[in-house]
Amino acid sequence: MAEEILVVEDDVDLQSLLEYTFENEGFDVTGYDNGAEAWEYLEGGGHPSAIILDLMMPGVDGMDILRRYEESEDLADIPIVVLTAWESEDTVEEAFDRGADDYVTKPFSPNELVVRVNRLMA
Amino acid sequence: MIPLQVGTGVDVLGILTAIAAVIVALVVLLCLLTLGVGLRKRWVDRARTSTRRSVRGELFERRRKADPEWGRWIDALDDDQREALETVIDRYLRTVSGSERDFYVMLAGHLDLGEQAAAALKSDAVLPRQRALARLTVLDYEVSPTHLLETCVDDQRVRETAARFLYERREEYDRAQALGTAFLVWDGSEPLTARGLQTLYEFNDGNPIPLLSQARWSGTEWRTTVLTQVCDVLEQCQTTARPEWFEWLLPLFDAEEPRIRAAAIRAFKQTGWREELRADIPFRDLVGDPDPRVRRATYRVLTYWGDDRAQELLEWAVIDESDARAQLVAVRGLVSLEADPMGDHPAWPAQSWDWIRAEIETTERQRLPRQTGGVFA
Repeated sequence: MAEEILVVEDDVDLQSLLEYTFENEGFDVTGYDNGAEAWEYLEGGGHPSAIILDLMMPGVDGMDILRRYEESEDLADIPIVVLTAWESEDTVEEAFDRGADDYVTKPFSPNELVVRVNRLMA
Repeated sequence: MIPLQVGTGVDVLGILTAIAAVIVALVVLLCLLTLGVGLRKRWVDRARTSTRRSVRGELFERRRKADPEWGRWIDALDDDQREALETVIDRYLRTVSGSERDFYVMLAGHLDLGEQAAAALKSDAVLPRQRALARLTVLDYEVSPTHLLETCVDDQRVRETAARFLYERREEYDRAQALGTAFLVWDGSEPLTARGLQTLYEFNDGNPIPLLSQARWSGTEWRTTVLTQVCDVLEQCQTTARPEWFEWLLPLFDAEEPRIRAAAIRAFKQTGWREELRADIPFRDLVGDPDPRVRRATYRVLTYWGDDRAQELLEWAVIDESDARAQLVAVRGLVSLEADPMGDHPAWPAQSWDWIRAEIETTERQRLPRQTGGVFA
């Protein structure tokens, strides 16, 4: 059975590209374009093998998800890669403090992202 | 009391009623028109989103095929689908890198996006040219410097965008730095925007010879705002340029406008400490300048240099300074340089000194928990 990747990205173009990229690598992809639905999915028992998380989203953003993730013991084993629009030291530091395992700054290479995710899941 | 019927037979009430009816009709018409425009816009947006979704879906479906036949697919697209595909490609070109980006450059080639953008540079309007330059930048499409000079020099906004194009593609153009700097400053008649200033700094940080060269030859003819902006950029640029490149700044200390004198000293921030230049900077005049802006700028530069001679000048300035704000700048400089207070001097500003020390200590205390992970971490 294929491993599941959760992609949380409000830019639907980018979400589609990430879905295509990971599906092409043999993953099952679940995509959400907002943090609220993604969190609902995780709270409802969703347990993906890894999460790709955009930090900047309207409403419940990536950092909100990380804050909730930090408090949840059930999800602690899921590796998270955050996508950031800019490399702000404070933001990246906070993301790591809250449990993110890696980060990628846009523009990014989707192939490199796959390699990073595979490494985290190994 | 206004008579409703005047002697001439004019029915005032009737006229007022008619005017009110016309106003009500106009308001209703305007509301309907706004509603209509809103509904139409919503319909257009929905149609556009739907087209974009379907084109994007088709794009990834085709990528899964062994022979996607990109040329045939693109030729068969109608105008709306083509526009949607262009938007999607634009988006991806800005967000992805590596081989994935190369794929979208290839797809843009099928759509002739580069040729279209190069042709759009001939437009008279500003926005289409700026958009075209942005697209040419992300497409890595080759545009000759001659074409840029023929099409992008008539408007400061376009010149700044052309300079940005050259900055982003600086590896590919031999004289990108010189040409980009020329585009930005041009004849010195138009102030730069924040974006233009950033590009000017990025072009010249580390090696500001193109900017210094232009300033040396024509800086005196520039508008004051442009001159001060260039000085502000030089203030930030690291450089090892020879001292003679900065000599054009020295006459600016005699300028009538205080903001030029202040800008001139700021421009020496990174280089003026070098002995060959320092000897020519009229510090006594600057710390005694009638305008406090010039004195403040001088104190900041001296603080930045922070050597014994700079500190000595600051100490005298603190005592002689008549402007409270300027004195505070000098005091802040001395405190940050950890100078000893001259408490026994009758004009020593003890209160300012204590204030600044407390301010710096408070800032340090606020920083401490962040650096160490917090008191209770």
